[in-house]
Amino acid sequence: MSKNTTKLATLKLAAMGCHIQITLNITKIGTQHSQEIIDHQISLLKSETQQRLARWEHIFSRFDETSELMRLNNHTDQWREVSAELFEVLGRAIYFVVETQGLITPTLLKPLWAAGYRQSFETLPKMSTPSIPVITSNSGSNAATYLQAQPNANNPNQQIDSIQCRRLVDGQHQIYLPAGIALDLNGYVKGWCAMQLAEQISRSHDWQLPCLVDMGGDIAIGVPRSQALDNAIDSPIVWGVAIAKPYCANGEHMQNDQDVAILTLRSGAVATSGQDYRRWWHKGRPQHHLIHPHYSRPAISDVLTATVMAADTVTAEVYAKYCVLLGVTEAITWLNQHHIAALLIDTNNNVISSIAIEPNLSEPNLVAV
Amino acid sequence: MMTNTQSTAQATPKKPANKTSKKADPFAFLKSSIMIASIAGTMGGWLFLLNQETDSPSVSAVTVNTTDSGSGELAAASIPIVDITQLRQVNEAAPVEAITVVARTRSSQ
Repeated sequence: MSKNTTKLATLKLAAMGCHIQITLNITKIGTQHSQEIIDHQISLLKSETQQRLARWEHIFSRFDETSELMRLNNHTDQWREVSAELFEVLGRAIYFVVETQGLITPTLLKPLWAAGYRQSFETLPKMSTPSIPVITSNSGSNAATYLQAQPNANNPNQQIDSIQCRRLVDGQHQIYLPAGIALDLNGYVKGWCAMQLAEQISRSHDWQLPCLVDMGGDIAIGVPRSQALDNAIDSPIVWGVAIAKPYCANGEHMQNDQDVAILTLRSGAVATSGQDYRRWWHKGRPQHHLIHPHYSRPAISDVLTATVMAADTVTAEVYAKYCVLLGVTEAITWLNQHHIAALLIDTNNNVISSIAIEPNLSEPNLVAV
Repeated sequence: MMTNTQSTAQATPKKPANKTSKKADPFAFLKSSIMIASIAGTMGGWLFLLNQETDSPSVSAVTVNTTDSGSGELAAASIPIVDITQLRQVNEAAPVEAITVVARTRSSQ
C-alpha cells in the first residue's frame, strides 16, 4: 500500500424512511491502531448512530401517531413541552419561511394529506403511466392554469406568525401551535440529522474522524477541528460526490455510471430535491411531495431536480426545494444573484448550472442527461 | 660515461661553491619575514571571516548565481536558500489528489 492511499470504512443503515451511508476516513487512525480495535470502535459507532436515529425518528415521524411531532399536531391551541431537537428544527424551518418568501414552510402537512401522502411512501399507489408535466413556471399554459391558477384562500403561511416558541428559565422548551395548523418537518429533518451525525463523528467522538454522511441523498461533510482551522497542519480531505441522473418516470433510477457531474467538497453540504422520485397516483392525478403553499397542491415546475451546495445540509435542502418551486428561469437568476452553487435539471433533461458551482466541478464539461 | 665524470669533477670544486651560496641569500631574512607576515595575515583574515559568519544568520542572505542566458551574456539570478527538509515537506503535502466518488446525491430516497 502506498503512503498516500486513503483508507475508508463505510456504515450502511436504514432509518427515517431512507438509506443512510456514513463514510469514515480512517487513514490516520489506521497507522495508530490495530484493525481489531478499529473494527470494534466502528461497531460501537454504528450502534450509537442507530440509537440516535431511532430517537430522532420517534420525535419527527409524521407516520407515527405517538411521535412527539404528531402529539404536538394533535394538541393545538395550547403550550406543549417539546424536546430540544424539535424546538431547534422548527426554529430553523420558521427562519427559512422568511428567507424563501413563504414558499418553503413547515405548515403543509394537511395539503400533503389531501394529496394522498398519509402513509409511508413505499405503500402509496405508484403511477401507472409516466407523467411529468413539462410546463415552465411562467408559461401560463392550460395545464398550469388548470392546476395552479386558484391560490388557496387558507394559505398556510398566513398562520406561520402565530406559531410561538419559548424557552423557560429551567431550560424547558415549549411550542404553541394554533388550531388548524399541522406541521411536517420531513423537508428539514434529514438534512439536520446528517449535520448532527457528521458533527458528532468528526468533533465529539474520541477519534474525531473526517466523514461524509449521506441521508438518502442529502449529504453533510464532517471536518475535525484540527483540520478546520485556517492554520491547520492537515488540510481537509477532498470528497467526491456524484450528482446522479434523475429517476425515470417509472421510479427506477439510472445506473451509477450515468452521473451528471462530479462535485468536490472539503466541507459543508450538498442536497438534491426533485419531483422525479416521490411520485404517486391519487384521485386520478399524478402527485409529488413538493407542495406549493399558495395553491396547496403539488407544484408545477419545469425544474425536475435541483442540487444545491451550502454550508449546512438544512440550507442546501431548503434551497433545492425553493429552486424547484421557482422554476428554471427564476431559480438561476436567484442562485447567481446570491452566489449559490447549484445544478438544475429541467423537465426536458437539460442541465443548467449556476456560476458558483464551477470551482466544485471535478470535470468542467457536464454530462448531458 | 667518461664525459660525465670529467664534467662533474670540473663543475664542483669545493671552495667556489660555498662562496656562491653565501652570496645568494642576502634577502633571506626579508623573504622569511614577508612569508611569515603573509601566512599570519591570511590566517587572521580567515579567522575574522569565520567569526563574521557565526554572528550573522546563515539563511538570511541570498546567493547570487550566474547563469548563461543563451546569448553569451551572463545573467545574475538570485536563488533563496531553502532548507531541504522544507522542500521534502512541500512535496509530501501536495500529492496529486485522485477524486474518489463516495456518495451520490439525488432526490431523497
